[in-house]
Amino acid sequence: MALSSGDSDEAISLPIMPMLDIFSILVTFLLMSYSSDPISHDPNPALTLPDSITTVSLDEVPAVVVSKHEILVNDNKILSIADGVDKADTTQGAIYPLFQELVKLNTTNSNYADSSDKNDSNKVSTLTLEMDREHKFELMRMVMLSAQQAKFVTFKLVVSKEKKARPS
Amino acid sequence: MRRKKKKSAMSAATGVELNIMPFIDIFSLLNTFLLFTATFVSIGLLKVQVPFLSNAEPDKAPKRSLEINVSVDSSKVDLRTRYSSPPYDPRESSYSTTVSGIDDFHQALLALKQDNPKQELVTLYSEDGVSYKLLVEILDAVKIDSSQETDEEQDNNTLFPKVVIGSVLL
Repeated sequence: MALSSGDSDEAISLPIMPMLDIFSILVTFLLMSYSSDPISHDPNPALTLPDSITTVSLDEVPAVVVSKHEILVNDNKILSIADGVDKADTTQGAIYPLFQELVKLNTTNSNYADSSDKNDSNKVSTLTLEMDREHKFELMRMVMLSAQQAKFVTFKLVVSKEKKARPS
Repeated sequence: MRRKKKKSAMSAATGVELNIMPFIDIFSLLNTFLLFTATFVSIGLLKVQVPFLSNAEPDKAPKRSLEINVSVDSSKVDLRTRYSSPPYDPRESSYSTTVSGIDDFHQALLALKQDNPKQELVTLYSEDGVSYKLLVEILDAVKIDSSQETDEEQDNNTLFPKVVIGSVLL
């Protein structure tokens, strides 16, 4: 199809300089915000992490996730907590299905630590916990008690890092 | 020869053009890669412990040490200190759970750390109705020393690094 105007020999040029500017700015921003944490982990979409001014970075993927409606261990659903924890699932203040799953996890961790050369006794008893910020301590206590009975005594609570420091 | 001369004269007239297409290609690929791999939420950790039974032998001659207990409920934070042997010198103070209240609580902990620089342990008790969000704010106030420079990589700005959540076994 011919051009309608008479100056058909004039080439149409697309101004690509603004596009290059946008690309440069976007690349700079992405490179600046690129995470250098040892582990890159996307939090469960069904929960909101609490904000913290901690500087300690995540070093392992959370084993236990307590979202708004369910409890997961290594991405496997253990229990629904949409209507709270069912009393039938609790034993002496602990959540029994969670306790059973954590006993299995502890056994696996112990076996791995025994087979490897490294002495990871602290790591075996450490559990990384990701939990929704609106949950009450009552639920956290039940989760921690279940883990404590499965021989996990140290907890790494997953939080969202806040940039600003506490005013002093 | 004449044709070559004519060509170079033409390019001089139109100006030298830089081929920026490969540049755009690289930028596009880099953008795509960065957008796919970027994590926009920076995730951190707070380490806590729960009480546990141990077979380890107790110290034969325990030293006089300071016991710091923090009790949290939805509206206030209580800070109790007491020495393990006489003179016990028990002290208690209360703070609200507002931003200024938690900041006052943090200042009290900073003063406590200044008087007892070797003290590392704090036992935290919480009511069942306390939200996890508030608990993390209290843990921040207990564990992180705001008076020191923040180091992004190192965990060296801790105030009381060992926090035991005592109410788990109550």
